[in-house]
Amino acid sequence: MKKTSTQRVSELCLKTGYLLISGGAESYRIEDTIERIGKSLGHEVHCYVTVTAVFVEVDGQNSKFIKSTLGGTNLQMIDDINTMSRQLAEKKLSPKTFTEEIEKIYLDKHTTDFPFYVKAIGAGFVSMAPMLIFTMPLYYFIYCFIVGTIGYGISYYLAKLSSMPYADLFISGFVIALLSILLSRLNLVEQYHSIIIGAIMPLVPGVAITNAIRELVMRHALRHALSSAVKLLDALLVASSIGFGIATALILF
Amino acid sequence: MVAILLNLLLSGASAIGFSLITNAPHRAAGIIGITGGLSWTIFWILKNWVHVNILFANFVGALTIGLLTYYLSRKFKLPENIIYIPCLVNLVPGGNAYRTILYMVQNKYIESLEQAITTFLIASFLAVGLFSAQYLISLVKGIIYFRKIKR
Repeated sequence: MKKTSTQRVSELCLKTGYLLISGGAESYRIEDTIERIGKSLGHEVHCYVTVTAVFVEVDGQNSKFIKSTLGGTNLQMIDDINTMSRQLAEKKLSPKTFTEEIEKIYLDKHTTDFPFYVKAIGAGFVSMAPMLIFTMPLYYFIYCFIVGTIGYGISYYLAKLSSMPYADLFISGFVIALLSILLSRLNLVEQYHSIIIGAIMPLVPGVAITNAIRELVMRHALRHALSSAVKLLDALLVASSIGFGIATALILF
Repeated sequence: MVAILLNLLLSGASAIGFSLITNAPHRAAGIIGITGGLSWTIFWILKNWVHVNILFANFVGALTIGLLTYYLSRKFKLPENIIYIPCLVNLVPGGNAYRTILYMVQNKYIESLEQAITTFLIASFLAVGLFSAQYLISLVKGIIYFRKIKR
């Protein structure tokens, strides 16, 4: 097999790692994928991932790192890269096309995405889930669906308008609480707390907290303590910014 | 019986809904719906009919997700976290997290602390459930491996 130069392999690995982090993959999975890509290109690659940086060393001579930031979750990105690396290992995909594909995704930082209205409807369905615990009458489900959709839509568009973190969640938490209080003032529902709990469900980082704890113990104990700590801190900040948004509305009204 | 079906349907819909938000691939939607619906229904039956501790019910729910995820991700060649991230959303303690902040605002600090601890415990038990699934699978693999060596 023709060997690609170590320089290009290290760049390819860094970009792959960057994309996987912005897709929200686990650290040990990223390291696995990158080392496997290196192996199928005929190089020995060592890799270390914290969520804020990726370190790559190729053949013990060319070491590099890239700074990355914790993004949202984009499962399509993880699946695309995973499929491509599997095809590369099975030699169904040539190294040249693989590099081109990675370059293409890296440049526009975009994969196939659902349109906004589909996501909003999805958020509405997520909002209805906690209602199952409280076993509420049926019209609660409908209000939850509407308020959840609005809350998610606000956070979606604010996140697109400005890159400042956490502020969009604060505002959408505030709006959700405001709408729920309004519903109870209009005597449409008896208690607004369950509506709020349902509507914040698409935004709360419950999964992120579980993931962070899971990453702490998976595969090698405490090897990924750094990335786990970063994810846990991010989840706590997200949770408290939503919570303070709601709290502000509850204090004011 | 109707209640079980309703739970299965709504929790499956909610798992698929979260998979739309997190932009999961189209081919995974059905798998996510089945896994999310089954794990929630098992949690719900344990909690409301058998009346076990909510922590244990969460643990079993997460264990179900872990085992199903292991099997289905290998069968359909999907990364594991694509399946379990949307499925967990039904089980995560959003209500407790909300009440933590609510009581804090209402100056009920003791209740707030109680809710915060419950939130952390439930999240930990979910993680423990997922971890146990992996651990069980690796144990079974180890047993099979050593039996082969003996022969």
